[in-house]
Amino acid sequence: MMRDRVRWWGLVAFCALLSSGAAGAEEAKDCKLRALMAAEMQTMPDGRVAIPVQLDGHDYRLMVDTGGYINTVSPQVVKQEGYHPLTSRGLMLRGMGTTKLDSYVTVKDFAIGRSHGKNFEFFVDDFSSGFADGTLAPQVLAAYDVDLDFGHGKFNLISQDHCPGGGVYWADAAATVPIEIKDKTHIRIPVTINGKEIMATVDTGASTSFITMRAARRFLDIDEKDPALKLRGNISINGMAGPVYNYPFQSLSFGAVTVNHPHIEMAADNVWGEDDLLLGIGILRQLHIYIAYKERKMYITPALMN
Amino acid sequence: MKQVVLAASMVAALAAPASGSSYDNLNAGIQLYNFGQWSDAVLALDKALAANDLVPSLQFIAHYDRAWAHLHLAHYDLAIADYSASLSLRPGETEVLVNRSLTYLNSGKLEQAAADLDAVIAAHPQLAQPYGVRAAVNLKRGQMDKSREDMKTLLKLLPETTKRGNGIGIINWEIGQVADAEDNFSYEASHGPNNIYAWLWYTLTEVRLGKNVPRRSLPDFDKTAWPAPIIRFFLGDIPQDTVFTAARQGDADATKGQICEANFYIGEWLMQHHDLAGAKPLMAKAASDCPTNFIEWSPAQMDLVGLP
Repeated sequence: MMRDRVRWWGLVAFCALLSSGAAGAEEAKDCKLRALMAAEMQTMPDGRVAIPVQLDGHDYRLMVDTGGYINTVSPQVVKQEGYHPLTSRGLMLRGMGTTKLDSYVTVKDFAIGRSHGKNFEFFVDDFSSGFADGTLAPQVLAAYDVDLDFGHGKFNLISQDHCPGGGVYWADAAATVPIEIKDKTHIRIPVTINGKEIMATVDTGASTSFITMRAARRFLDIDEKDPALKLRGNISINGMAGPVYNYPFQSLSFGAVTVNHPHIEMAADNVWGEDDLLLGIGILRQLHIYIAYKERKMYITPALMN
Repeated sequence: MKQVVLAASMVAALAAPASGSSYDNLNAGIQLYNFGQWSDAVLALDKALAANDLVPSLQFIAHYDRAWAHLHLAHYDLAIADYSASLSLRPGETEVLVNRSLTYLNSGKLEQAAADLDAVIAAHPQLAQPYGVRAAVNLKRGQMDKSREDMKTLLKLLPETTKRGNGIGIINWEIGQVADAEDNFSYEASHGPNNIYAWLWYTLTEVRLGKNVPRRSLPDFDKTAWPAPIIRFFLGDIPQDTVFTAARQGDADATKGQICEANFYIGEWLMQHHDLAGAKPLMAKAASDCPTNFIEWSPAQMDLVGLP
């Protein structure tokens, strides 16, 4: 989702979260990576992933959402914990459709692994999944290196305090892709589809990958009249509705790493009017991804290298 | 392992397919699950699990997704086996227990369904959904009072944002919160996607409260299609015999549903007008013949019990 207007709730608490868990960061000059949190990734039925956290001492799971802005919890969590939501002026999230979040709760003790944050704000959002109780967004993720080892079901948050290029611990080499950070949170990377370059947003919170018709026309020379385009049906996302199409893309490359026959749905302009490609979990989970937010780099290999 | 500069010799290796066979099949299975292509999802997940080389957390979701696919294909025993396999990998997982209970319910294994739900509710008494499923299980066991208790708890626990819809209105109706039911059906009749059926329920609620048929709230409807005859009966335009004649028109599937609805709505209408002798045979037919996935099935079971 793209930000329209954000109030940076929880920045102070966020710093507290970092400082309390980053033991040993000052020793980082030896270039060793320091995992601040290592968890078993829990794959959800649609392929997205959640990780264990604690809210005020109780166990919950938050879906890892690199495409989100703000951490959220479900109304069920609010009810179970007896939180009293406060009304904000409203947070408009725009992307594929628009969502308005207008209430938030304060979690006194938010814990990821050994790291704790005090008085942490979570917006309340209808997130209906029996396998996750909310979302973990770049509001937190971007303060770490984020290691997504889908093939082995492992999730690591790693201190950003390491030597340049030190993130690839699992392979002798990886594709190194520069990342741009849009709207302070969203990861944009260059990819190549069917031999043509295009920028893409990395969104682990999206179950499906989408490209806009506008982007397909502009960057890939594919338009509505292309005979290979097949109507898949209509979708409705966040109040926006319209047709989506399948297209037989041959390859999607991240530097030297290639995903063959990627499933990317093409959304009509009235569903999503931007020039964009959204890489959802269906493609991402075919990879091992290490996001070095501070370095502005992403390291990528196939999901199973060993 | 030590990082090295990406050498030209590595490029070919990196350009290979993203992952091993089992993991590729898992990803394919998840994608087919997302598309609702259940048979193909089962085939892909069979392959994913065959080599037994996925890490346990991935085996868990492979079994879970395959169970869901089997459930949609009405392969209840296979679905139960897969849910059980998921639970062996992650004991006590709420969603799996609830879904296994639904599968038990579908296959008529009511005691096993109740056992799963009792376990979930004992561990997570604040979760709403298990009470809803247990209400249905208790209904099928003929335990109406327990079913109503579960419905009451369900309504208490549901977040305010989800307390809308015909289903919620029917629960309100069954537990005697008729004013809440009225509010729900009135709203749905003017806003909801199933506004015609909401209006039928709204009408029954108004009659139960001693009010008039809400003619002004009647949404636009196709006068040539079902359930127009029931609407016309409620409006006093046609007798019940004409409704049943119309209900028998169409193919076997259509007439089964239409006759169920005719029995139920006319039965309820007569009940609310205190014609209990006229209502009872119709409600009995609705209770025995309505498909279990019809919204009329549950209230038919419960309201029949209240008839002398």
